Amino acid sequence: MKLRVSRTFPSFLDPNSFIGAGLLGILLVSYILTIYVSAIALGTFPFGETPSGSLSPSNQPWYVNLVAVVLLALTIWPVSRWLYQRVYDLIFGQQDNPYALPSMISQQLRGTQNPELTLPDIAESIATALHLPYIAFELDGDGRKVFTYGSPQPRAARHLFPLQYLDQLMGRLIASGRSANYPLSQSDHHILQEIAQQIGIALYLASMTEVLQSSREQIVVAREEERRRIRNDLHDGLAPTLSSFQLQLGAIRKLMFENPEEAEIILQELSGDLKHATGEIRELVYDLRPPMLDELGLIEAIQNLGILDTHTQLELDVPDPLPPFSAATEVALYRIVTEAVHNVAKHANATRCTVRITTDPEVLSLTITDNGQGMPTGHSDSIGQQSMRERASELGGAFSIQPVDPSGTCVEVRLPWRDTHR
Amino acid sequence: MTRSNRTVVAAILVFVFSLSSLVRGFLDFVNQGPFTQNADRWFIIIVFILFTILLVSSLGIWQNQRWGKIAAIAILTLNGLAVVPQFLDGGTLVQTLLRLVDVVTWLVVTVLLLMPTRQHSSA
Repeated sequence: MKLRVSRTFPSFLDPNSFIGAGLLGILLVSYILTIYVSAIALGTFPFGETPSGSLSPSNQPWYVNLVAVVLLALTIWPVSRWLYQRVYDLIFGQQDNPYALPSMISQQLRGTQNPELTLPDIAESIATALHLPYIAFELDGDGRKVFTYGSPQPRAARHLFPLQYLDQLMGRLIASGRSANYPLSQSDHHILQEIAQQIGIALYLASMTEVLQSSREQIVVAREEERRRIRNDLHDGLAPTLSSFQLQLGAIRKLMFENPEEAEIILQELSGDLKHATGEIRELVYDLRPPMLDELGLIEAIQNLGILDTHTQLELDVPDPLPPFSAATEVALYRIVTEAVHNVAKHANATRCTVRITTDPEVLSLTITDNGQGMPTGHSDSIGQQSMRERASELGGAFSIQPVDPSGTCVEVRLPWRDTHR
Repeated sequence: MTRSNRTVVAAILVFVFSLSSLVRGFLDFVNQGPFTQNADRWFIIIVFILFTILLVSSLGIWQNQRWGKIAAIAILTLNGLAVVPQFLDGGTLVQTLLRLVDVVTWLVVTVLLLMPTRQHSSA
């Protein structure tokens, strides 16, 4: 969609400039005349004199001229400035259809998946429709990008409009005033704010789409890596073990009648190897999902961790009944609690460790607090803490660890959650 | 189309003022009143054309069109320029009141049309 094109401002060849100057001129002349006539009327009647009927200053009493000059001197600047602004806003503004431009920008944004590509066209549309000499878009994010149209007028004020959605600043729209004496009008501000909001939302959605796509790719990569790990575990661990069983069984078959004592020794070795293989399979299964979660449930699984020694008491403060969590959330909670309680047992020297789970309609909060000696100064993330942070992050949550007063440490995890059973 | 209360009031004022001025001028012309007797024929024709344009511009204002607003302000200001000095001529009470109506209409319509319209953000 194209709007009227009038790229230069002010231009003596632009009919709009002529109309504006003419209208402003007759309004100012009328104002001066009205003030002068009012001064004559007010200055002569109270003293019993009748107006002479002539407008010539020489025909008026001296104080009438003085009053007229003082009144004009006091008011001509603000009045002319107001009229200048309003007349040019009427001529160049969008008063007749203030929603035409935002609506057109909206259409331009709807027609693309990448709003950044349309910004040069949008800058041109805004500059053309509002008769602005310069429009620029500055985008934050990965590398600062700038899209401009036109060039700013010398000494003209620049106005900044944030491109943002909620508290996420995506960049800014910069508009230059039409001239040094003609900054943006109120209606210009309204329209540009409206447009900046639209573009901010579009940019935010585009960035979120990018994040979502990247997240999907990460999920696929993580799934493939997990498959590869399981395949390697099976291939490098279990498969050779089973092959060795086959060989051992063959040897036993041969020796069973010829040398039963030797066969007995191999059978004992086979029994030990079978135990080892069973342990490997258990480890593999445990890595996929702790079996205790299915056998006991989350609460009892935590109660039966068996990590803490006898002088540290484990307290659980959880909703009763515990709302149902997704399998991923349940595993994450269990793993984080296991790691945190393990750290308490290993480093805290605490007498009490409290695991608290709270839920509100949108957030699931897990805290593990101890009354131990707290974190050492200059503490940085250990591997275990990084693992907890990653587990929270995978589910779109946040992880924090901080000291508690008077002593101890608090690990807090906040996960997005929705109670579907309400 | 969105139109503010100010635009509606201005459109009605311009419509009523231009129509009454045309009727007043027409009656003066038919009855060979003071205005018709004292003014040049071409001046009378120009005044009639201007007030007809003013009448049409009230429609433009009603439709929130820029040309309607500009035409109304320009014609009313020219009328104001002609009327303001006449206050010094004296005249009857009715004449003074009619001049006052001309000036007040000019000022009110100009302010209504030039005042910035408040726009609420839709986001």
